[in-house]
Amino acid sequence: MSGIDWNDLYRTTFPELVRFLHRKVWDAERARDLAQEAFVRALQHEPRKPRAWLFQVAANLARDEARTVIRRKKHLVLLKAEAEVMEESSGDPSADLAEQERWVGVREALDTLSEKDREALLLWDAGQSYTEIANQLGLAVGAVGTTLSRARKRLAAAHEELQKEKTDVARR
Amino acid sequence: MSHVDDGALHAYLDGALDEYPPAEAARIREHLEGCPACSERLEEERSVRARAHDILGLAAPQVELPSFEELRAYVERTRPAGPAIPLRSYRMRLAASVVLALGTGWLLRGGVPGGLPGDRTAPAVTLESEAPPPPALTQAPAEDEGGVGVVSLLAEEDVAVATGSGTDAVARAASTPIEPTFEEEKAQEELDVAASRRVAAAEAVVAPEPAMATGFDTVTDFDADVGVSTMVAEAPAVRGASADAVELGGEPVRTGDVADGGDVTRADDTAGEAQAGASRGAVATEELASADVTLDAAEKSGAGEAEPEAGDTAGDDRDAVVVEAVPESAVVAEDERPERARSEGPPVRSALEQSAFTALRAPAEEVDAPAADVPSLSVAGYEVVRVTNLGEGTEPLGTLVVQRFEDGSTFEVYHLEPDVPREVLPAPDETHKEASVLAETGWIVLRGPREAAELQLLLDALFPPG
Repeated sequence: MSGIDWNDLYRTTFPELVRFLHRKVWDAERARDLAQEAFVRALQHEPRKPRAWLFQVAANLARDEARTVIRRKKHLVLLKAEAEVMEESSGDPSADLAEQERWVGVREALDTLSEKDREALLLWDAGQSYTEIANQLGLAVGAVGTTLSRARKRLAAAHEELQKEKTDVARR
Repeated sequence: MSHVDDGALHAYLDGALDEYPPAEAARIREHLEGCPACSERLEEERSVRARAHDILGLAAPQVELPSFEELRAYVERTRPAGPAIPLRSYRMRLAASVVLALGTGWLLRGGVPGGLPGDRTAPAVTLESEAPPPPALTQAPAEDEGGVGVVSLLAEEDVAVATGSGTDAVARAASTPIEPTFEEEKAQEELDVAASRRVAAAEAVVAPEPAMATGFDTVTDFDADVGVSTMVAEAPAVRGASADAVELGGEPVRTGDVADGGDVTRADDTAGEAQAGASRGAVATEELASADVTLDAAEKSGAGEAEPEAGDTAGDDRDAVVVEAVPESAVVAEDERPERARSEGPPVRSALEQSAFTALRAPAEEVDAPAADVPSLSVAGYEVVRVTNLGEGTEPLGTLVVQRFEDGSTFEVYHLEPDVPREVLPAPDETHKEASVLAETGWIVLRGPREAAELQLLLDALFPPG
């Protein structure tokens, strides 16, 4: 298998891949499924640069996943699913709710970023190097820092703004 | 010495200066050591970076690592005999549309025996829905026959007509595989050496950012007043061309030339060319019914246009594809439609499926299978006023269908391409409300002078009953 230690690669990359995918599909189980699927494909194809390949495939899988979702329908399903999760959760319901709210807050803040800025930020957060991000997004390495700088500022500002809005609404 | 920019500061904080050219990295480090202002900025950026990291950490999932041995065993069990070409079927339909459009343009532009430029021979085209796209579409970007370029994807199996040039764009539109190809991998390696070079491989894998400021450019117009029924009846060979059979997914499409442009509304001429005496070709689809639609391939000016016929200064030779607008239910046969995601509730997974490993589905087939709904182009029961392609040059953004209410007012149905955000649409008229949905095929936005709930019902009508 071309000298790649797939076991080691799997151990180190799988969590990063799930982390990356989770911010795209916002479903932990689905993110794990897609990460596994990316690894299955990698093992089948044995790419020469498996790590970058995995993230590319993961991004494409997530994109295709998004395409297949009819948001309006899924919202209905999600609402129902979330309700069921709440009911089924054996843990602290308020903690579950708080986690959901945190996720929503992050998601909304990420949604304010441009696609490229968001992608760069998520790839960096998932452990990709500047060179890997540059390759995946078609950027110069020198432009990755600028992209990340912009993305981080926007994320921080948007998250703060959204939290403030929610606080204001809660006070009313 | 100039200060370092924010990007360099973040690269420094990220420990990524080693990936910069050594001289540039050394300059940045040296400057930061001696510049109080930049050192101060560095601390500000460090704070921003930490804040962003904390925010992302709020949504970090708990990750359990499934067994790699099981994963590998699964791969060995399911390893395909040969290399798969995972392309979603809708991409194949798009590719098929492109092929048909190309073939049609070729035919009508003179590919028919005795026809116009080049005396090209137009072959009968047979498209298998599951066949891979022809190599010429995906591997020969330099070859532009000067004919039809890209692509008006009206609906899954509609005849598509497009203008412009650049088969590379066709290839990009028609094929966005999940997995990078060998060539793409190789191109990426080249990028490691010269990372600043943008490589097509990356473009092919990463969805291009939509041109947010792009205006809408009418590429294809349609005129509902044309007597299509007559044309269909008279479709076979007027100019001596044989009625070549073009099969698309088993639906025969008969091509033939229709007479001079006298009874065909002229296409808008964006280049200001002479319009008199345009002779047109036509494609008539059989087994279609009701509302007639004429799509005029209004060829835009610019590079890649069809070469003008020598000595023909009085008229332009245009291609008109005449399609009888398919009733919504006929755009895709019901039995071909994938079952919709239903709103009764989430799919129930068995305990076995819940296990980390068995959650793996058939890796290629299922992901690449056609999924979810395919909307109709227009709302049944309302007159179609016009169909317009949205986009500029070779970057199609979508399709606009304008339909008429009983009272004469109109509503608009925007079908955006899959990667196009709805924000590209201009703000709606003040008197209009809108309803929208993200479908498999991209955003669909419906706007009109009605309440949102009513528009929502119209939007729902675009989808087959689920």
